[in-house]
Amino acid sequence: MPTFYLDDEPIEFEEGETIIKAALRHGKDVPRYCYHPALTVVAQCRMCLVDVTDMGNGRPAPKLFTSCSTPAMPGMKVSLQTDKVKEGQNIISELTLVNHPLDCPICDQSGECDLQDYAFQYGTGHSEMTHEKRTYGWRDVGTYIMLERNRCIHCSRCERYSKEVEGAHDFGVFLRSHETTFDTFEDHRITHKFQGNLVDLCPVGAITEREFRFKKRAWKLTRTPSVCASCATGCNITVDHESNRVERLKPRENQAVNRWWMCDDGRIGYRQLNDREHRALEPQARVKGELIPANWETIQLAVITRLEEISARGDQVVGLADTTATNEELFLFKKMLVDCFGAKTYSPAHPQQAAPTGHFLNDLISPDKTPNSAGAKALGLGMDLKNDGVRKALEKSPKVVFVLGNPWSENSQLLALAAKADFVCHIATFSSPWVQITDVVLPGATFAEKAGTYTNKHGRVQRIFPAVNPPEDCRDQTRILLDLMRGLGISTEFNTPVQVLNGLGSQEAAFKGLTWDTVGTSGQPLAGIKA
Amino acid sequence: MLQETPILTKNIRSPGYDGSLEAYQKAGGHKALEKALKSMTPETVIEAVKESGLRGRGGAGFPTGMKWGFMPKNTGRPSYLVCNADEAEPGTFKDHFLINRDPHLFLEGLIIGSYAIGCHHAYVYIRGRSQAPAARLQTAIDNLYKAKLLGKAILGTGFDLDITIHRGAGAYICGEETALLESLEGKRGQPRVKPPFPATHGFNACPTSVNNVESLANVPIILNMGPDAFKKLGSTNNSGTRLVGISGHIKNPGIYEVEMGANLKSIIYDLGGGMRDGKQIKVVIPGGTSSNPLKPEEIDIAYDFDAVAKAGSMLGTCSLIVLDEDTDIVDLAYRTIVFFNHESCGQCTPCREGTFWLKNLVRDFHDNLGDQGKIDRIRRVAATMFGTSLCALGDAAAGPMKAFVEKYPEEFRKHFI
Amino acid sequence: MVGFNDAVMKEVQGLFKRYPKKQHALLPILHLVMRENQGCVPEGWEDYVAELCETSLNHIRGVITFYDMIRKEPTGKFHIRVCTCVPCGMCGGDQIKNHIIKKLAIHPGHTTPDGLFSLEEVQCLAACDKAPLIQVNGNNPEKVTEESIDIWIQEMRQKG
Repeated sequence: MPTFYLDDEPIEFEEGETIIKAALRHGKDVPRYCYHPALTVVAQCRMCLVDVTDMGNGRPAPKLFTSCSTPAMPGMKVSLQTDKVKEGQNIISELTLVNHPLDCPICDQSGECDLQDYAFQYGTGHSEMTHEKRTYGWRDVGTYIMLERNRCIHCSRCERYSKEVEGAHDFGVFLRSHETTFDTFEDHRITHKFQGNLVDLCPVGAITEREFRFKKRAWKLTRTPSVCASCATGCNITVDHESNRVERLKPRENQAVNRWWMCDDGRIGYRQLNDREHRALEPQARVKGELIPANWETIQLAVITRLEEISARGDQVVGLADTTATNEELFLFKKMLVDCFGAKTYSPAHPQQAAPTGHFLNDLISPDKTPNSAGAKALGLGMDLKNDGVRKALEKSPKVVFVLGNPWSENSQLLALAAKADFVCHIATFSSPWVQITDVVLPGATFAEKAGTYTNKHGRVQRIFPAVNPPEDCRDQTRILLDLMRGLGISTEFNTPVQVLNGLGSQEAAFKGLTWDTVGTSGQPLAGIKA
Repeated sequence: MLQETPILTKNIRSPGYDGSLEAYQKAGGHKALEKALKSMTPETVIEAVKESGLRGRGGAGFPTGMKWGFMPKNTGRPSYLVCNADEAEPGTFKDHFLINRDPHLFLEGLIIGSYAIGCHHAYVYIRGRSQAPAARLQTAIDNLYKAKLLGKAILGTGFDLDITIHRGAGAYICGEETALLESLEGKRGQPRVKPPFPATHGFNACPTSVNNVESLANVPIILNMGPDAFKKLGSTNNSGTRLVGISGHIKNPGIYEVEMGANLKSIIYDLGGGMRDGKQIKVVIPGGTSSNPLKPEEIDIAYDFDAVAKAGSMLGTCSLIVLDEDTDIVDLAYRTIVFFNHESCGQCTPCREGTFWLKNLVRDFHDNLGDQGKIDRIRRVAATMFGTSLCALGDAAAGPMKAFVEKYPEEFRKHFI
Repeated sequence: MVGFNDAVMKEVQGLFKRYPKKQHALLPILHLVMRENQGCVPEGWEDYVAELCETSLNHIRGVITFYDMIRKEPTGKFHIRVCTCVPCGMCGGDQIKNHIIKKLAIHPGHTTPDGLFSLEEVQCLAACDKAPLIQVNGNNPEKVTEESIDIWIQEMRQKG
């Protein structure tokens, strides 16, 4: 590979690659506003200036070059440290700021603002601008976003995104010279489902999220890597939270899945994570027809005792699991049903995406609104679109029904069949019609409250991490299942989801070779599926 | 006593010449075209233009032959020749002079150039406000079609060419070649990032050469007189003649054709007739508003690319603006920066913010609100803008501002609070 | 009514033939729109042109607001452009501008109530040797004096 030198450090690059691209790939920080790997290069902000002291032919460049538009050349010597380039960065920082309102104290972007960071790092710290600043005014541009144009630094990322990535070109650039403005057409509001990406792209606080407005200071948030559970695509995200509250979900770059993007439906998934109203908050048992709260020890003992009383086997026991459960939970659930009762487990099947449309963003939204259908399928849970298998199993009047999550909760016919069982045990995160018929409610955790893995629609296994603690009486489903299994007399070496995943490979062919570490930050495809 | 050297203006200067096709052909026009199409290959045409040392007349002075030589061959995509007639820099009116008086001269050059680079559809990008010249040009082109000098099989050879006039819509920046191409593609006239250069990715991402009207007008002349004879005109490295447009407080403003390297002072006094009302020169802007001003003591120089650059300015479009002793430099500086601020395309930071800031600063002097700090600030902002903007407009705006405050600080001091 | 008549549509089809893509013909088409609509692009035409040129509405608005010549309000019967940039400005362009403002009682960017005159301040008309310049309805720019303007305005008023 050819090499150039950034401040005397060799950097390998591919033929035709620009300086900034190669430098960023090698973990170097080059200040930049308009450059974004997803968008065309426009070299407008001029922040990524570099001093090319040797163009690869022994001669220095006549002036500072923008590293986003300059292709690297073998033997090129580039610097981000010379006085010349520092002066350039000073100037650009100063000019970028002369008409900026400097309203950081009330700006949502504050704390994660490129302008703030670069002005601090590369600016002079003072300004000689004494004239009145240019003002544009606030604009209501979308259902999910807001535009404060005074903060705009004219990087044009929003316009390029709407033209090149989203495609509708609903953000335009109007007027010229110092009046240039980025805006929507008159009062046209953006309504598509990919507005949040504009917020992420905007390097300053010009485009902000409606729902995050004036809510939290960005620097107070802790960002826990995770995977979006709103559909089967499995966009990589961070769960941004503070004081045990999830404040927002943000996409995390993964070129194999969602690149830099996610949809707004996914983003508003944070609301459910804070929902206490519809949440199963405490263990409950049905006594004389009424569900009443009980503590975990009592209820676990009662469940075991009841199961031993009924002592059902085979077809007399049915397991129903929805596909919001992680691979580890589904595996343990299935294992419990097989090992304790010799029984079968069923999961609802979901319509899969039709052929890709070629529009990357639209293809991100899957019609399957659960994150782990592919995992359930890989683990061999009985799934069919017409629900024949599960109906037949329930028509055999089982005595015991185990329910993990809320499978078929809208299917009153199946629910009525299940209600006939002697004992229904429900591990629930959110309340659903199952609560009407269950004998026991064991409250579980959301995807932001536990560790585990999901398998996305393309068969990619990806990790989630606990970001916040579950409500006091809720428990990680893995622990609930392991406790039940031990109570029923099955010894298991597992204690945590990580251990479950690491052990999965030897028992399930699809998970062969996958461990917590090999799955890593960006996920791994199931055995036999091409990356 | 300096005399005009009528080469490009030979026809125009002959009495009764009306610029029509008949008149042009009667004056010996289209000989070069016939020669090129019938007895020369595209390569030999390019070679001849290279040999002649012709440098672009649009301002940057890039050798025309070399530009054509950069065009990749056999790419499988069409090549385009675009004639830049956007001429919109204050003080510049030479291209419109040619279009109005002798359109067939540069059109012949355009056809020959198209032949040289293998272009079959050439565009003339003319500024939007020039409705009348555009109409006149359209008539000239229609006549060429009628005379079978455009269209299919020109002069019975296998060479086809169409020419389309594309009118701009009022944006100086579209004179920058990549902005011009954007505008030709129906977009905002914002200069493109280079590389890639127009030679490989120009109009519609095809190989494109953008040439100035006057550059093209020189092409038939080069073929007629031969590159060696052409080279003898002008000074070393600056062959040929230039159309010098003189405006301002001059006795005889207008277009004069002189050999490159003629003495600047002589041009002003011998051709322009000196200043009106016997006044003294205060400032000479030698190459359009984007060039740095020269003081009267600095104008005894050769008027060519290199000598003017050596004097700290640039030849640009050979547009002399000569202003007399009554000129208020602050007023001049203010008009200049208002122009550049208005015409900045607004895409890159230094130009968008810098021209706005400079305008505000110079306006303070215009409003008698200046102080020493503001003089220093103008100098600093202009100096720092220089060389960091995307295209040359940032430099064009900053250079003169810096020069004004450095060369005429006393004029600015007159406008202190 | 928004939309070209058949005769203009023929011109548009002719324009499309001269460019590789329909979008490239945007500026000539906008010139046609202005020719047909008293020198402006009225309400509703942006959508029409966007459809015609197969591009987005925002693209059209971006282009329209970028170029000085493309107006949203109709011009008067006589559209006067007065140049005040460097050579004209230094040779009395401002006086000419102020004189017209006084004479017509309108500021640049406006039209007289009778719809006869509209005024626009422009940067360079490319005939700087004749400074100070005005241009009327896209004709060749002319050298003017305050007196010649008075006479001309008088004549045009009479002609109506």
